[in-house]
Amino acid sequence: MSRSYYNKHACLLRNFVFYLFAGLISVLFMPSIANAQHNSGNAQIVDSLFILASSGDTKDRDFVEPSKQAIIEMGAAAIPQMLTKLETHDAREMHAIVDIFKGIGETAVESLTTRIYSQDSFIRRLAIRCLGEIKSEKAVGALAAIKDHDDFRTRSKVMTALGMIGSPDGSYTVMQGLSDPDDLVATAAAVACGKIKAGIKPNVLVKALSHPYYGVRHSAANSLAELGEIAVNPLLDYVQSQPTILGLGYVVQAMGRVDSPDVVPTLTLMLTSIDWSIRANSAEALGNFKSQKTVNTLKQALKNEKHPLVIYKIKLSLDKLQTD
Amino acid sequence: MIRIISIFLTFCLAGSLSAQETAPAGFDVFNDKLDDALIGLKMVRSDLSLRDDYIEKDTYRLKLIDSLMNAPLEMINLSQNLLDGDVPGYADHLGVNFEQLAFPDRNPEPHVKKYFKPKKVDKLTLHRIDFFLSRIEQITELEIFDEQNAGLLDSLAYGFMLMFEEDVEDEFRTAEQRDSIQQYEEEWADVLKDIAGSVNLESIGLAGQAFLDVFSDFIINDEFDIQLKSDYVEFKTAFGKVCVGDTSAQHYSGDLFIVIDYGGDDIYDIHKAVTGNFTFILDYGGNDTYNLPKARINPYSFGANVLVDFNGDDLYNASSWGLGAGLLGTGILWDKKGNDKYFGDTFTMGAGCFGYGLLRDDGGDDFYNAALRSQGFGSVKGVGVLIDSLGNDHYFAGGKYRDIFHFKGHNMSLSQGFATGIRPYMSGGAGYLIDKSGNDTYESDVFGQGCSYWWSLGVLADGGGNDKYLSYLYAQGSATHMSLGCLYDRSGDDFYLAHGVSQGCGHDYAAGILYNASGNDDYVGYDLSQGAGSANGIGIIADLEGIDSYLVKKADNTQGYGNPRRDYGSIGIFLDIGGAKDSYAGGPGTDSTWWSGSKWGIGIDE
Repeated sequence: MSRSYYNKHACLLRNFVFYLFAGLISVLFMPSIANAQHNSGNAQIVDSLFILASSGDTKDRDFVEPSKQAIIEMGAAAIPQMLTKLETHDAREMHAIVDIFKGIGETAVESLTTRIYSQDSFIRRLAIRCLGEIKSEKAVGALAAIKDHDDFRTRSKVMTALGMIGSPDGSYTVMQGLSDPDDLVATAAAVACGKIKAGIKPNVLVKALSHPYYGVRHSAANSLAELGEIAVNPLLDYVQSQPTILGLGYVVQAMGRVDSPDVVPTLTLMLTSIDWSIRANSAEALGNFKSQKTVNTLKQALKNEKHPLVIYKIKLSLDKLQTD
Repeated sequence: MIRIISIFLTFCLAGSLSAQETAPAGFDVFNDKLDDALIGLKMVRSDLSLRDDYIEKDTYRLKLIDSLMNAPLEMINLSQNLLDGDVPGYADHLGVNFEQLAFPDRNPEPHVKKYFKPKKVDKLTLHRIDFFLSRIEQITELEIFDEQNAGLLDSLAYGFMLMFEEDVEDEFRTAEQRDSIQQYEEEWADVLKDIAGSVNLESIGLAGQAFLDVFSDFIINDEFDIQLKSDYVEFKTAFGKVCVGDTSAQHYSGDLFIVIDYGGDDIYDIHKAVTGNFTFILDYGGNDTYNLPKARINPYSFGANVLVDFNGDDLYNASSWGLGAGLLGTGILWDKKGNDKYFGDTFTMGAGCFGYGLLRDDGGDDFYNAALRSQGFGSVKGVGVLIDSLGNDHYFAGGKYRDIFHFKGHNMSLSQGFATGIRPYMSGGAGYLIDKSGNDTYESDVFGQGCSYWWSLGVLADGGGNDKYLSYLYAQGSATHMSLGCLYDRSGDDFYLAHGVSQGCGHDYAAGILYNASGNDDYVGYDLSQGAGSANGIGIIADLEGIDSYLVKKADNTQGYGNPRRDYGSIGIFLDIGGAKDSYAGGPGTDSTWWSGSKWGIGIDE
């Protein structure tokens, strides 16, 4: 028996077992769930499925997703028992819980919201994380209400969740979060600004480009790019304000992704900077503006360039422009 | 801030980890190029920093871990100091001063008589026996041994055993069975978290530091005054048997407390039950065989064991908790000469948890074979050290306990300069594998070779020789989940092989560094290696001199790569400095140039 023959049949057998398992879940569990939603047996079913849904063992891998899906299909009936699992400290279980609540969706928002006030930090933070994944605007008010929580990790989760929900109602809260004394909260807030977009003022993000922590600087630059056209003038103004080389690097990063031709002259000018890092960043940024003129500019720069990173970035951009 | 941290480290590691006056060779060049790399990433030096509070701090965190999280590059200096300084001790890591006892300059006889009547024993031997007796009193009189704590100590011994032992049958169990076992262990971890802090557990390991005097004590180390005509005598004490042997071959068996042997090819069969035991052996010559206690619960918890073998090609057989293991206590094994073989299972060959374990081998071509959590392993409030000074040595860790979480057919190692906490309940410790010279071979499978997990520090420091580092996953300067791992190799033409998450890789707020100071080296990896940052981690590979070669399978996450997670970046830095004509295959690296294919990663070859 050839090896490929064996592998093919092993695969078929594996698929058969997989579908048999999924079928059994549907046939055996679903009718009883439909008939008796509040049956105490639901808790046992959820527990049993959750063991497989959160298993990290290599031999259980094929059962993880079907088990999650089975709990999700239970919907509201699964929520009470799933809420008891929020207290876990196990990363793999947390991941499964998030996936399941995300799948259950809006039905779980009210129950989860009650848990964001928990004294148990694990329950609190995991409930916030789940609300973010569900992306329901109903949760925004409750999340904003705990934005000043003593625990910076909770504040950070709130910012992340508000960003994921993406509602303009969260814009004021995340802009405030940019001034949070904790770097991780400010980073999460900077990311959230780019996801919410509506109602976000570009200048608060421009200010964050010189933040001491790279996570904030990078995220602010990316979020400015997400804001699009309205970010262009604040960015150009910032260039005029003689920022630090570091800050300027992030402005260039944002300009490169802002999708406005208005920034191209400034980027072209920066390609002649005496600072190699600015030239490298500009070369990379120009790679996002497809035109023959940009190609010519980069080719010309390549002729005179000596710094290896700038040369690398120019070539990368030229490849991109000539391939797209 | 960095200066404050450096001052702290200098203070914290003064003494055993005495701070080195000079920086590692080529360190200035490394620093310059690292700064260039950071500029290329739009970063500054302070960005190469992690926090000590991503989760709420527990009371078991070592200050050293917090300091190094804030300044992970200091791992390079620390590794250098491990090679050049004294043996790292326990007190240093707890940030406390420990005053060594003065040698008991007294007539030993009255003190020895408290334990047994020493007929036919010469005075020098009595001095040697008194050396140990004077020190165990420091342990047995500790407050922690108050009668009311008896049940608590039993729980601690059982609980920590449960945290470290594995079962080869696990891979055959069903998901429900494994879940049930996991729940049981988690319940125990939760209990340990509470009860371990209710008593001064560190006091046992600290008191055990007095046994480090064996390295310097004149009478212990006086090999020129061996009592050749001493007859074999044996005494019974409340702690077990005291045996004094002559230069003929002996078979020591049973409940051994103190053995002083002056030569001959001896066999030791040590049997100890329950906890709170002590065994001290001084063997001055011969090719000896040591069979250590085989017990599920560590018999030396709340006790100590010190074994010094002065000469000969020796064979050491242990199961778990032996060969320089300090689980809730102190274990020291010092072999001064000979080509030796060490065999053990779990938590062995320089392993510490709430205590200190040291295996020191000063010479010979040695073979170290363990299954798990060994060869420089540290866990909660523990320090484990394996230090080998001379010879071409072979280290093997793995081969027994399947890793059921990652890849089929691979085994867990968690060894060779590895440290871990008990996630998410307790922060971890420090594990050091220090090999000062020789052409050495290191073999591990999953987790090993300067590697760490959960608020811990794992270092493998190799001083010289042409070495081979072979592993599969999470290895060779790799750190995961808020921890610190470093592989430091000072010189020689070395060969590195690992599949992934290796060779300077930090995953999830962790920092992994592979620092090779010189030699013509070859690196082989598959993915997420050779300067890779993942999930907001920091990964750095730095090769400072020589004509090197780098081979990887995946180009898009190796050789200066950082991936985005939590919507911002990790940091991956690849530096090859000095030495022309380096070879690259499979990855983004090229000789004599710079590259930066990912937003959060950069490579420099100059």
